[in-house]
Amino acid sequence: MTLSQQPLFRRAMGRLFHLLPEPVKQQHGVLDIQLSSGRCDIDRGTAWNARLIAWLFGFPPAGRDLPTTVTVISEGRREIWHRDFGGRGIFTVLEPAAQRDRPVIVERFGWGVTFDLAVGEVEDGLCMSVIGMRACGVPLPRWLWPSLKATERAEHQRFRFDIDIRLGWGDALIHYRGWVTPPAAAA
Amino acid sequence: MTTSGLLHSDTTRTVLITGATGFIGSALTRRLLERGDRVIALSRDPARARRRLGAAPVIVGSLREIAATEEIDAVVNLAGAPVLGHRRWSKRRRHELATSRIGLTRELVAWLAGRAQRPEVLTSASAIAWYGARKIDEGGEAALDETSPVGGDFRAALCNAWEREAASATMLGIRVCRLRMGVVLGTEGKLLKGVLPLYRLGLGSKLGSGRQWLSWIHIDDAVELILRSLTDPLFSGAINATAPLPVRQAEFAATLARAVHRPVLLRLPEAALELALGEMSNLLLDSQRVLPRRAKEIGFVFRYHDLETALHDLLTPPRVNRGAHRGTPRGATVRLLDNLLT
Repeated sequence: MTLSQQPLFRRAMGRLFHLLPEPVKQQHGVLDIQLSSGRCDIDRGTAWNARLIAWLFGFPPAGRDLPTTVTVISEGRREIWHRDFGGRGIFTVLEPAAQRDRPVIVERFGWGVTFDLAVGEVEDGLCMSVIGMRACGVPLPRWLWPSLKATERAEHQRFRFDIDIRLGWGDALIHYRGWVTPPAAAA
Repeated sequence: MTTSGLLHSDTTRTVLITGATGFIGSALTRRLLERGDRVIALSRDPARARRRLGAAPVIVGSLREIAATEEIDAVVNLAGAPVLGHRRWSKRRRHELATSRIGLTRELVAWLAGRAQRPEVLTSASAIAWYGARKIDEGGEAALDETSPVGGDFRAALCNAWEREAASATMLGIRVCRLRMGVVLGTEGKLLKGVLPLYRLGLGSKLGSGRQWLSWIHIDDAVELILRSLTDPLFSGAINATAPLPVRQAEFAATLARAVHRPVLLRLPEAALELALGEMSNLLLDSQRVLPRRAKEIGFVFRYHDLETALHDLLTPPRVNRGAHRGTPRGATVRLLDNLLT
């Protein structure tokens, strides 16, 4: 398998990817198309600015035990992720960052907004944090960056995620946590 | 060697079909009912399915409506959002194509896993898009068969994930046959329905260079492959559902034009097609020369080898029913004409 044929996270993380537990590797090891299903809880920030931003980006509403499907479409260099929470879906596009000294993924939302996400290891999984933000290609000052606490872990055969996004000044934006079962893990 | 169409079970079978209201699904349903088989059609729109399929099949809106005690001998999985008809495959469109095929197939296999009685076979549709799209000058001359590797574009990825989902049913002890469909020709199919009016007006055309390969199959042969897969244990794994003699697009245009007694005067350049159709133009300009190696190995005999014979069958008006209008002036005229013409 050549470098360009490898899944996105494997290319970004190099040998660290092989150390990940199986469900995490399976969720991030898509070479064509993968649907994973599970459940999720969502909390939303109530401040007016948090609600406005959530509306602009199409974030799903709050809820408990929501049926969740994550679809990953691998397209060469990039991956299209669709996360459906209780019937409300959101698309993002993930691409490798330009040459870096550590694993970095670029995640693109709507409105031309992109985030540089540093990928690190945690016990039984990986974590991500924001190290850059751009709007239509223009870098934005740090005080505008959201704060991201994202962990993805294996729990038996499940891929468990905990994504907590806050606005730069601390107001909660969205916190979604749950699990999906990648198909290979389910087999 | 067996002859196409003769390897049928002698007993009535119950066949569950998804996508029964589609072009292939409705033709298959008709054939199964003609043979005396029982058909259960799964449809998102049961009322529309009833209108299209008639009173004979059992129509259900979800798998939950099928009783646990219902004995199902075979399943044919044809459902999925249509690939044609959209100018551009946006993220949303790709997602819809993926979930309609992969998600439904997964649901189907999960439902089969929960049943005490399981069918003998799952025949799941796929497409020759599995082999990937290529332009004629970029590998498009290569002959592709079931030993060829999977392609690298979105449609190939979609087909591969779709087939993988269907193949998971083998773990339930179910024989799985994955039919990679070529361009299915029939007067109710999208291709002929779309281009025939143009050809009849003398507007048939060569597309781009016209050298790109078109791998086609007559609807009757496609249905016969499916029917055969339901009872023949040799039908297992991936099987190309394409006629033995694929043609170049220019030959397709010329043959179709001859069949409707019109000339081919036009040529649409590649750039014009791309401008007009966007990503959809790839479906007309890509080259795939796919051969039915496996089908021939296991003894399937195609009724329509070559395009000319296939189009002649599809486009020749049906013979007049000699029994109709007997004893009437109209009937006498009809019989006279029939005798003169045959």
